[in-house]
Amino acid sequence: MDKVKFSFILNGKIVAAEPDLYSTLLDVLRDYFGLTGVKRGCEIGECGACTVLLNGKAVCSCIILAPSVENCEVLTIEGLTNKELRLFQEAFITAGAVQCGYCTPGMILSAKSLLDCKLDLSIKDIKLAISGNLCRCTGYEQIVEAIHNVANYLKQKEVF
Amino acid sequence: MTEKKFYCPTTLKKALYFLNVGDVTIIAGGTDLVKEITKKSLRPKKILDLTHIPELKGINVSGDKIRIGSMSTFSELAANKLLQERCRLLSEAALSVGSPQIRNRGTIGGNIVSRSPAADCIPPLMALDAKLHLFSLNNNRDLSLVEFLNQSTELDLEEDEIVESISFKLPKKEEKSVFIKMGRRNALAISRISMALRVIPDQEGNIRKACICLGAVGLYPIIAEEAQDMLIGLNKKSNLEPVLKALSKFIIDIIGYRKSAPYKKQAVKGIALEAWDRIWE
Amino acid sequence: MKYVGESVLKEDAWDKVAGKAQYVEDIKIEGMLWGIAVRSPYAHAIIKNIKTEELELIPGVHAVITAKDIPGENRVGPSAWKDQPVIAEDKVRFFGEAVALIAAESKEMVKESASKVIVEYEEIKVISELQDALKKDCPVVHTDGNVFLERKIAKGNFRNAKKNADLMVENIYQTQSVDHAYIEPDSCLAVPQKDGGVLVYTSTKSVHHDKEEISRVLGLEPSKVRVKAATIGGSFGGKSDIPLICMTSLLAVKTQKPVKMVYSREEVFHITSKRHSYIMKYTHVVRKDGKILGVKVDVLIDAGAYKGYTPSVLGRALIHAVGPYNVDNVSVCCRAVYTNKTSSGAMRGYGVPQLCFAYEAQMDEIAQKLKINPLQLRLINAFKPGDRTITGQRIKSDIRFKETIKKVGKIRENSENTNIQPSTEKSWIKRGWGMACCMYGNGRTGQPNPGIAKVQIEDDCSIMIYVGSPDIGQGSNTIFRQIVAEILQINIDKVNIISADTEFTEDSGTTSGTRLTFIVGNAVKIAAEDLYKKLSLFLNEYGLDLPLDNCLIDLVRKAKEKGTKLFGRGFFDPPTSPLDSKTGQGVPYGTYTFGTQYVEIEVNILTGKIKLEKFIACYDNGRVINPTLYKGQVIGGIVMGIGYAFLEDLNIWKGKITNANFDSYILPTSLDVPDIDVNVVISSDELGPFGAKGIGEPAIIPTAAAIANAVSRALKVRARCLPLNLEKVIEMTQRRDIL
Repeated sequence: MDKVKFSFILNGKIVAAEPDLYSTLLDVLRDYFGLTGVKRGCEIGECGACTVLLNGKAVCSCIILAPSVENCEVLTIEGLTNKELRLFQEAFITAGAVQCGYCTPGMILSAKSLLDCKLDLSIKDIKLAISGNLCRCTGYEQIVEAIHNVANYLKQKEVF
Repeated sequence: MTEKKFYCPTTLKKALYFLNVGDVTIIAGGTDLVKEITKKSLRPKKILDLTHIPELKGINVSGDKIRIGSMSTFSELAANKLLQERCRLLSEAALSVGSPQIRNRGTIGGNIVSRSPAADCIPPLMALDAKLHLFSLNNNRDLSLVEFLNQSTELDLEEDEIVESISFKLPKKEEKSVFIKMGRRNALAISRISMALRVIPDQEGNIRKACICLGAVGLYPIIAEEAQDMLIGLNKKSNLEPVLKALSKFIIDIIGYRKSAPYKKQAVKGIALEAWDRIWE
Repeated sequence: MKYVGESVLKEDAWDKVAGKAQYVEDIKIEGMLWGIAVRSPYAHAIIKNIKTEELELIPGVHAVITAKDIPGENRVGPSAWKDQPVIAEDKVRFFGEAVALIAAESKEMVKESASKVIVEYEEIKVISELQDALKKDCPVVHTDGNVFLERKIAKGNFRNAKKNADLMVENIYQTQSVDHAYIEPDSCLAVPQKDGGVLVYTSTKSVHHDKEEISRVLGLEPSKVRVKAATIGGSFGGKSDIPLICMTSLLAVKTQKPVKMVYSREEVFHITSKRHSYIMKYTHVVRKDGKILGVKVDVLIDAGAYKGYTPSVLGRALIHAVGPYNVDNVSVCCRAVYTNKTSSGAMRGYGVPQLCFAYEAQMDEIAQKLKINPLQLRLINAFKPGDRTITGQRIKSDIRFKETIKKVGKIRENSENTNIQPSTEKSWIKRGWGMACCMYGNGRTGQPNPGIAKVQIEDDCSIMIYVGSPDIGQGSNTIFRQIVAEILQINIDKVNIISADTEFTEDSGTTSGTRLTFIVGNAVKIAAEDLYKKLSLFLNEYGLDLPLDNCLIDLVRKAKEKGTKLFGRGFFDPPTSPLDSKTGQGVPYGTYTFGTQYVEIEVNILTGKIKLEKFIACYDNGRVINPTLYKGQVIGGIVMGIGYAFLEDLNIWKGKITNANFDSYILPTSLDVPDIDVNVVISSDELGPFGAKGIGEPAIIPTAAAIANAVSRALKVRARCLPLNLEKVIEMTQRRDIL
């Protein structure tokens, strides 16, 4: 099987990998870098469990061939700062937004990509931002509430 | 470079050199192609990734034309102020695609080349009478989108060609347009039927020019000529009933034999009414 | 109370948010192999020949297993009926049934090897539809006939009731098969142990049942099999796929290496169990004042290729067929039929959402024909304390069902945005409202299903709860911690829990049947009370004083000195009795959860699109132990019900599911969900822990029924099948049987 060497910035660090030609970004993140926070749900880009940020934008890592991210910045849930993580944890857990938790890392990254752009959010904005992340447990409402609470907090605090 | 199995060049020229070697599979955003590799065991011998080429990006006005780089993502199209103001049908179509994740990755070039009957950017581009600019190492040529798609089985795209950009005439300021997509749900939806509508009203508000392009009906999007002609002279208070009837009949004419016909002949009226409602906003 | 009734935070959520929670696929063990099943491309065929010899020679392939290699019994099933082979022997009965297993060193290698196995099949005619299975000349799936089970319940005399009735409403209803669609695919990791046994990590709703099946199939002493639940990415009645956990274990034992098997999403669709599709005929005979005099129900249940859960689902269907209404004369007959599809199984609601759709449509039709307010009609017939169910069980005095109907009515009245008048502006947009009610027995139908728990004071001064039933994400572990902290009057931060590990926890039954709060919660409470009593004595003896927070260190020290283990044990089996085989009388459940849902919608009669405007849900759920978790269950259930109502459908062609992934099997997204107003009526169950009952399944049961009733009201034509997708709605608009 042909291998392809490439390097990129993963969670703030420059890394290199040499996976099989047909490996997806999801495969490389989980199997090569051990970042199991990126989840496998459908492998066709329809559930969002594998969502990561690519150059700050939410994408499904299962439908990106790994070498395509050459020289790009990739952020997984493991790459959040401690402050960011804590913020999301408190908001999500308090709102009841975490049941089985499988969709959660993907949800948070989709939320982060929205929050990094604007904090003056309507409920519709939030629902749109997570519309590519399927959740079978919560029915979304408490997730939307959690993200809204994070936005409100950040508006006040300008933590990042 | 030509021995590489996966090539991610940063210039168009390098890409074209690689393509020239032959037996190369081009990948844009990959939102359609990568699934074929993961799930259907497609095994491309060589892969050319176009997403790192700045020359293939950009949405700008040049003279009286808008040029859109083929690697512009749906997100970029949806967020573009010029398109939002002057080309609402295209920016709305881009916004209607899949999900944020798909939009951040999928490209207009890929949408065109994907040959999906439900590709959402094609009805607006057809309605805009868009042209494709094809580049190869030794030759550049222009082709209208309609010509490009109307080949019955094979796309009119050579093995060594890349869609570099798409361009169309900048719509007039007074033009109104809209894109309506009918899917089973409100995100991650494949179009069941869609409509791109352009009208130019005169100073009294009566339509003097119109274009209706229907998507996800049959193999390719199609212009509903009779129905669009009937829009001439109508204004926002007009009775749309005759146009709706014409659209319904048109659906039967083109796909009457299909299982989806009973549904689409009704649904086309629904999206037409919604388009009519929204276009006057 | 300090903890019960509070929205205590879920402890497992911190790791889940951080991406640190370990689901089965995340667990890595040195030297791990990948396993895969070679699967039949036919839904019904005889296996003539399997050639696997070539494979064994490929370097990197560690094992190839067929049915003849199975050391124990090659038959599994969720209960007494074990008729499903782990690996097919002579015949395949559903598309994708496993015919061989392979273990190899990488995912790619194992996939490639699977494609090299040569199997010769002789195709048999496929029974794809329920109706086909009943035809005279159709092939049989097994050796007995395709209709393999029929059960009846009767109460009173339906024939007489019919004579005395002023109105008869008789209709046939049909519902589709749907998938659990948990976002984490089924997965299993089996690690061989030095004693010849195996340690299995799995995503499951019952580690103990899994252990039993694995030991039987592998021919191992049960003591050599340990099953531990990893973090579970959703279940809703599904998981584990018993063949999967047995396959993984077989490969691990054969190769003497850890083996992981993870289903692709397509495998999850093709292989794992589904919600049963039903064809139902309902006959209601009614007096003109709205009192239902009698109901006759005939249900055909599509079981798929193996018995699986069907006998149990059928048993529940018999009891729930009429809904939460007091009817004196009832005749119910349920029949189960084999077809060449993967087995239908346990899915949230366990056979009742289908019935609810039908009986609630009947209720609306009765109301419409008698010109009675639909809400009023339900109040007239609603179960109240003292009434008797179809099995003769008395409705307890703590039931507050009517109150849920009234509360929904009141909220609707007071709501500013109630907009149920037909739109005058856009004639192609119709508005409607719908309601539906349900009752749901908590626990296994008429069978013993005890909850067992242990609460122990550990050496590090923490309190540890040991419970066999897994927390599948709904938060049962948190509920149990709340209960224990409340009883022991100790800071909840000191209370931890180990659940679903056959090494440390006793079998507390599966996480299903809406039994965790009511049954297992009671066991936990009893265990905590047992411990508290023992503590009081112990403390007294050694001159220590409560509260526990203060004396814990001394207590533990003293206990160590004395060599005493401080723990309490709890056992709770709800007071039920099996149904009499002749009369169908008995006490099948310890308690029932009742509820009402209401929805307002808009329907576009040209596009068929349904727009949900708002939902109101109200339950008699006893005392709510954790309001945030309760809300999560109700909203989650409603959204799952929305999918069932008009989005989800398994398209089956010759037994094969043709929409086996999320691009064509449509789940609701965040943009498809309306406002949902979640309520509860104040009540306290006399048997439930702190008065609590369960909500997991009742949350979904009335949703599709309410939506269907709203669509019927909007279109003035009665919906008779689910799902109400775009095409179905357009079909409805073209019907002439206007209400």
